[in-house]
Amino acid sequence: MDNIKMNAAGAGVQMKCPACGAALYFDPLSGQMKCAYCGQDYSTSEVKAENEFDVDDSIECNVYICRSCGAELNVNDNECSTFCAYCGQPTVVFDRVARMKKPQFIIPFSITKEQAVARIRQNVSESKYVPESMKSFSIDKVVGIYIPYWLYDMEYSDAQFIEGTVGSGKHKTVYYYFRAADTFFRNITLDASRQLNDESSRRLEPYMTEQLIPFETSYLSGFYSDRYDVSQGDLRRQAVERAAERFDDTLFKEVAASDHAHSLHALKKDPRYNVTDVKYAFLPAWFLTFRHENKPYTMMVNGQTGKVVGGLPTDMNKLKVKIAILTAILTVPASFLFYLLLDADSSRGKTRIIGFLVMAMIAFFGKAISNLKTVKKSESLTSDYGINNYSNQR
Amino acid sequence: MFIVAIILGFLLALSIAMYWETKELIKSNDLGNSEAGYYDFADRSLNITARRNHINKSEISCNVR
Repeated sequence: MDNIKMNAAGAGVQMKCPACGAALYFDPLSGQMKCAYCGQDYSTSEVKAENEFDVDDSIECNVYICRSCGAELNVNDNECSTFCAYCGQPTVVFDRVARMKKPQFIIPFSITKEQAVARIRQNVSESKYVPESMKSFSIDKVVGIYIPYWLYDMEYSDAQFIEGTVGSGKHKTVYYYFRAADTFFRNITLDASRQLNDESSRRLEPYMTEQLIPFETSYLSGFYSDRYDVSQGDLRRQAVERAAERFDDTLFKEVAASDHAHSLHALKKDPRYNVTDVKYAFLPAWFLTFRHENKPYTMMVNGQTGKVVGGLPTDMNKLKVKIAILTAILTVPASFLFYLLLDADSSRGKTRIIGFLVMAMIAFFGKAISNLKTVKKSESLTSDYGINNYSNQR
Repeated sequence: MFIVAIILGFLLALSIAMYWETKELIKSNDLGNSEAGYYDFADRSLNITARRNHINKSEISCNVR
């Protein structure tokens, strides 16, 4: 089956694979467009969407294979790899040249490797809860990677009926509000790499996208880059969800400010959006890998702003000691307060205050457990196999 | 009564201490989470085209637009 489609003018147009840039052919069995090189399947509409805004050029990268550990290393054209970034052995051999879709824009690295390492070291040394053995951690590897992103421009409007509460206790009243508004969202960033989990890439944000410049291959020199493997069509829904989230948040703040309302939620919505442009861009990040108690951790640093992202290991003994000291200090006045309340004459007033304190106690316990879960989740993202693999395979 | 006051006081103190220390733990060890956001439209205001406060609930059954 040929891989040529005719456009309206009758000229031949070759459809390219969104993932690797190789030619696609139509597979009659599956009814899908198939890439002969990487084997990915695409619907025809998906391929059309990808090729509509596609710049018709791509860049080459050299793929090296490590004979020692089997890792695959993508290195930009005109550069070569002499050691494996994963196992450190000088056993890499050139495997093939792969094609990579050329991004339209790039934000070059403005944070150096030394600055990235210094920022992470500073955060570790200032942390009151990391194990002492970690304060002088030794770095396994630091790599600068350009992460592929889709950037969406979107017109967004909505009209909403909103329910909210004014006042509290016996004086609270439920009111209803109506708001219609529109806005334009520029450069909603979504990472286009399947390997890097969305939570990690979202934490790297914000990137200052007004500093985007047209892509030049020379910016890749000395850094690794990743090819996108999630199409812009696949991420469109997420882009709309982010726009809706931000829109509702801003709208509710306006209602809250105008009427001192709280507990706001939309009863009826009519959102409309129009994606006006989608850009493909490379955004910079440093990945720093170290080991603690034989467990790998990968911290990230935004290569433009220097923002450090990741969950540091927690010394639970330190945390327990600090909680015990604070508990001991607070127990005396808290017990005295309860003793006075239990001893007081006014039974109605004291019951109310004791009830309030017990409720506060439950709320504090609940929030503390939620905080611990947040820290654990962050630590597990940093020590996640996927993120270590993401940097180690480069 | 004295024992009950001590137990309740201890539990209240423990809950406050746990809340306080875990809040500090997030600040110290969970790096980069709280500031995650979208720079370009973080400060972008909405163009509000219709605004009505304290409408009747019966109006909600109407079409939004």
